[in-house]
Amino acid sequence: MCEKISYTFEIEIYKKETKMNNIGLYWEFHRSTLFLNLVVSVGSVLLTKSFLFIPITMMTAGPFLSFFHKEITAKNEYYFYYNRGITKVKLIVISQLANIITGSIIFVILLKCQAS
Amino acid sequence: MPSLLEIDSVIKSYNDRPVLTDIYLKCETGDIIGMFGRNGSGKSTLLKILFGILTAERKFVRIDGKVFDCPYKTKNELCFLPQHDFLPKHMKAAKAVELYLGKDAVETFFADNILKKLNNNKVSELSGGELRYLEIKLLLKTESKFILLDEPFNGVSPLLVEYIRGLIVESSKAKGIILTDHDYKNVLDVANRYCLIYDGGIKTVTSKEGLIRWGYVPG
Repeated sequence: MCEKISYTFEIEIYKKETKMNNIGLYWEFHRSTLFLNLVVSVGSVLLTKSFLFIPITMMTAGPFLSFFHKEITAKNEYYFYYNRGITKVKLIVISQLANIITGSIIFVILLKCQAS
Repeated sequence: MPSLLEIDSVIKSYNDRPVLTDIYLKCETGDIIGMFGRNGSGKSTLLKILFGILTAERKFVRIDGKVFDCPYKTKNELCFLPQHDFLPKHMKAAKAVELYLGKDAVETFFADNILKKLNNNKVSELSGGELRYLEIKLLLKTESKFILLDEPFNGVSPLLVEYIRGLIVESSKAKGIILTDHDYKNVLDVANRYCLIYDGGIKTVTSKEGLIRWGYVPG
């Protein structure tokens, strides 16, 4: 009985660790696209003279260029995620969701700053 | 419990040029299958189709009797070592191991002659051989039932080849392994079954003489 409980407990820990590792994998992918995204987003201010374009670019052209850059220069790195059962589509969708959430928060903050 | 991987009826063409025509291959836990074939014969193509990353006109991949369209989408069924490095360059070696095997496994993982002192290095700071060794060890230590290795000995020094061979043999107790490499001597030594892709089909070979007969190795 004790052995069974201990075994179930170990499986639960393993499942939790696997879930955490998967979140870590999605974060690592997102992190690898952030630098170029931020450079493009901040650069958009120079062209538009409006800080509101930082979050807008961060949700649109920034990630597009980042994913395109990865496709051209580091396509093989996707195997790192494939080997853990994560597809390219999942990586891009989750990363883009993170961009939209972050971009929206920054957009609201900048709007409030402008209003006050 | 032993597992069984089967790939059947594979047909693949590039621009109307048939590369693979009706391939059948079976791999069980404990197998180390050495796959040979001339350049452009379709070895890497077959491994990619098996992994699920490349489409084919027709294919059936079964693992333990269950049919998979894209086996790689199911965790711990198959792992694939591509010809070129796949670990993200910006990542620390220890982080890559942690993400694959968990935090507790990191210390043990790096406690060997090749990898000690490298856990704090970024992947981009490793030499080609060290990186290849790290990638192979990482995949072999996962819980995947089958490992596909595309040119594992490429660009690796003889000493590291020895270590890699040791890892492959040790891991084969719990996994099935399919590897392909033009370093046929090492493949012949490490594998316990051999096959050769010739004219789009798979031929079973049992020794170096078989490779000579099919024109892969000069006589």
